[in-house]
Amino acid sequence: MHEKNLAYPLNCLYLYLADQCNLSCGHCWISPGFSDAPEEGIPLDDLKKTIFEAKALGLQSVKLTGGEPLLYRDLDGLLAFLASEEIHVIIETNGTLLDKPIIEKLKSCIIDQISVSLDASTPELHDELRGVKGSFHRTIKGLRLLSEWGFDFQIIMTLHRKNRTEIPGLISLCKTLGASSLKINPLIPCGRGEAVFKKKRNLDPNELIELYRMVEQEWPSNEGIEIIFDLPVALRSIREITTRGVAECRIMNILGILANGDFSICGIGQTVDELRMGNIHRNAIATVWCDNPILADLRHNLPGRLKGICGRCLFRFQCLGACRANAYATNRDFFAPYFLCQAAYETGLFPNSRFS
Amino acid sequence: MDSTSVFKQNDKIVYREEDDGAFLFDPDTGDLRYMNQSGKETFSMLQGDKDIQQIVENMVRLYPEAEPPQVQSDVENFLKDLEESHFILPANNR
Repeated sequence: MHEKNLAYPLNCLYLYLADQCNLSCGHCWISPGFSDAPEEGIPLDDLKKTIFEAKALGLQSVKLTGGEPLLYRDLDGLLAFLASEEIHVIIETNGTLLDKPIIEKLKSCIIDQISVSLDASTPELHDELRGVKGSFHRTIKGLRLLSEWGFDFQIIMTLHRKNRTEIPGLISLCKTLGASSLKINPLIPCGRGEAVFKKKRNLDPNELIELYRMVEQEWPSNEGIEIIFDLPVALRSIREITTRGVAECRIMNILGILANGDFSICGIGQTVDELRMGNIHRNAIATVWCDNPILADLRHNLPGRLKGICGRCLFRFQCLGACRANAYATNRDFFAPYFLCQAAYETGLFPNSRFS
Repeated sequence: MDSTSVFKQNDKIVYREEDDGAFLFDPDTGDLRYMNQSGKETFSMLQGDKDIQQIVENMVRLYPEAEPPQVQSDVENFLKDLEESHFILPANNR
């Protein structure tokens, strides 16, 4: 009955399993509450039913995130279900709660990616940015476990003004710990990140682009460590685009489920209530995916209605405006230009060759 | 496609050159191809009405360290992809 929308396969569900976190990062775009107690999170029975139904829409993988996903009380049951259904698993975690029982459960799953947040190569700075003393050592312990058990994992740093000089140290740590890649994420002005921007603790576009170029020249991916500096494609070098391809806003092929079971386009519903689109207990996922007016609006109007520099960019068909959730959160407009590209344009840093 | 085939850039396509490569962009479909330095050089040779064999010979001269059969294969695959995506069109017909 929903065949018309299979033009948009639902490839991946982003599961915001818990809306609490045992760290308190000043930049978190989801803004979870602080707790280190196991949390009920998404009701497991409803979640299993929803995942099962989503397979008919094209579901291949789920991303387990949060809050801190390892606080989810029913994690064991969920992992067992995902393994039995042969659903691929991506995990974003702060790594502090990784232990042998969890690792053993992960071993039974088809793991596509494990990403662990680490913002500095020293305990002092990492703990300061993550808001909890001792978190660095607990994360390192988790990373060592992943390494010992043979997992392929990625370290993710969120780039502040304060940790901009940490990249070489983190590359060294990646090598020591056996990470396959280091992903460098610029801060976004969303959730708690908004306050970081107001205090000007983020890097300006010119500083970001300069650092991006330095990273590309000084540390081209080598010795098996891939360095991924997550700038919008229009601001990246051709050399990197030809190697890594064009990253895009995945909004056409993903759906988020928040800790209380509400659907959203991704995790943005956590901080923007009007982007909640029903609940897994009450609504069938096929109905939400195929009939929700927010998703229909996005499908019909991206990239055609993109505004500002995004509407004039050569990459708009592939990039779709980098992150539409962020555009909505900051402008209440899905078609507003991506803040970083617009700022680059307004300061003369957007490459002339990339206007269409 | 054979060694005497000649291609030209599709006039509808936008070509943008940068220091380390170039882009081809189809404004009607949004299709995009990015080219590294050697792709850019190969593409630029289409302007001179050269056939594939002449382009290969030029590229071998530009990249003497590369094996000629590999250059030939790279050039042919590159142009085949561009033709299939309508970024370039057959121009010969000698």
